[in-house]
Amino acid sequence: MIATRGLTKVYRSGWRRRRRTEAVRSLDLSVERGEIFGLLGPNGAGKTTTVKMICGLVQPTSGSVFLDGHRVGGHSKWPSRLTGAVLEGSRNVYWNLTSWENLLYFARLRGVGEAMARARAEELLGEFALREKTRDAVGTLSRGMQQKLAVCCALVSDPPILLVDEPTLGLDVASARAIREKLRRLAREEKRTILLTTHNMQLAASVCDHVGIIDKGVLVRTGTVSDFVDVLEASSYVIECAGELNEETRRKLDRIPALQLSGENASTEIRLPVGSEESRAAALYEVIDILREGDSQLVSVREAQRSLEDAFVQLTEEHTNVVSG
Amino acid sequence: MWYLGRLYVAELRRRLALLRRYALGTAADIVAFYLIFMGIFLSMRSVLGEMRPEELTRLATAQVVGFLAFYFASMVLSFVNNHLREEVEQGTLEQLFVSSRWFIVVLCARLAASFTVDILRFVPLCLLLIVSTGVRIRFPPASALVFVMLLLGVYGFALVLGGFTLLFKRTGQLPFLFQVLFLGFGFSSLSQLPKGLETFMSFLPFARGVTLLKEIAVGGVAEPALNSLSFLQLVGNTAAYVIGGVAFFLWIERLAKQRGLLGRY
Repeated sequence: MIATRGLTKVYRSGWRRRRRTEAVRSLDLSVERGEIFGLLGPNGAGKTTTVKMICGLVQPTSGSVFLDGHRVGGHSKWPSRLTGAVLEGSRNVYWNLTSWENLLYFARLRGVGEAMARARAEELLGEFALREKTRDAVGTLSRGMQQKLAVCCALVSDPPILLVDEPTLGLDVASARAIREKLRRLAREEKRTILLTTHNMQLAASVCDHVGIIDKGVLVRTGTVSDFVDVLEASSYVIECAGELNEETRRKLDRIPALQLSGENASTEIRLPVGSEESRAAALYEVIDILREGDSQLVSVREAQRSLEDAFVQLTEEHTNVVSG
Repeated sequence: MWYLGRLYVAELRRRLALLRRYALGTAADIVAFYLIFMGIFLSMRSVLGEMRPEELTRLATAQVVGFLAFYFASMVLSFVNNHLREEVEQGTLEQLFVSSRWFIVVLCARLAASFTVDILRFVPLCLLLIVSTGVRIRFPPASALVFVMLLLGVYGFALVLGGFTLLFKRTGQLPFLFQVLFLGFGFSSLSQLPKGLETFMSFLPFARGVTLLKEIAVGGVAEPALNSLSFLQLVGNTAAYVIGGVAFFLWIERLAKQRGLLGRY
């Protein structure tokens, strides 16, 4: 549904436009129908530029964008026909018009017939719980409602692809949750293809089928949310002991690869990363045996799940290290 | 055409909604234009002293027509510029580009809708001017062709100014400079200029059209003006401005997309 091949954007600035800034480099992306793909990255990673290239607002330096198999470029009809976009940093809708007027305006702009536009506007206002605010000027609505209306306007022509740039940025918890639920429903029930960009890991982990981590314009890795967590040895055992461990015990534990010891006088924390299912139990038993031999007082053993955020931080740090040599 | 019609309706409804919402501003615009005209008219009359009634009618007719032409040309000239700036400030410009294939077509529909609304605003202004000056303007229907040609030429020129706004966002007083020039043409005549300057100025948008309009209004018939060489020159001038303006705007649009400047203010 959305595909990019070798998508690259280089901005030139300065005197004689000689200074080059590579915003996106050779991006290959593929998002299937009914899938929510999250493009994660820190500020300035190239997320927004990627979205803008896909919807035709920024012209790529090289590479191609395909929407539903159609190559996009120049004044191609496909972006406006196949996509709806909610862009970050823009209001997206007219604050001096009402919700109803905005929906009808964008429907007409996209060539939707009058009767269809009205029916669609009614439907969307109901779905997004905005019916009570139909006749209110958008400037008087809460930030969350404005964002929901922006999504409605993007959907008013019923496009199969939705591009949302930082959809929950600046929203309160309830509004962010409402947007998340709507996005999930749009993909699951209406089979829309959604590309969202965010640096909110909770959002990505809760709604995305696949995520891609982009850093300094390069797509570092793609996969499902669980892929990321597994690949990065997502879980570890955290074993807590009372007091300090004796020298002999510490020496034995130090021989176990990747094990980390930390703690103060009152307690010691042992963090044991675990890989495959088979090695998981063996490693844990080995540590417990060593602690028993050293007469250490065991307080608790728990499994700590690594979050997508941990994976994200680790991957971007690794990428930064590679880039900086 | 079907799409353009739909766009026109969309824009017209948006404009009317805003006009209703900001009725005070709408009334203030009419009063401001009325006061500007009456100020210029009365001061010219006092400078020229006592005049015979037919001379006064002739002068007033030329001035009313010149002023109304200025009113619309000024609106068209600043239209592209103001709309682009407003859209960028409101944060909706990128959404317009995403929602339509040809932004320039959206601009066209917007201009047509704006023009329709301005015609509605023009009726009370025109009545006010006629009542205040005591002049009855004879405006033959065929002169509408000259009027449309004049405005299309100005629109082509406005697209060039709009192109600069799209790229640089802040163009300061650039449109205002040309509005002042238009105001000058509205109240005076090209023939009062030195020959070389007259030829140069006649190639600017507005100048030739407003001269023809004044001729028609003062003479009361359109045919001689429409059969003149001046009208042919006006048509050529308009075509050049429209083609040049559209080509320039599209080139700037591509440049802005290359540089990622569409929504940046």
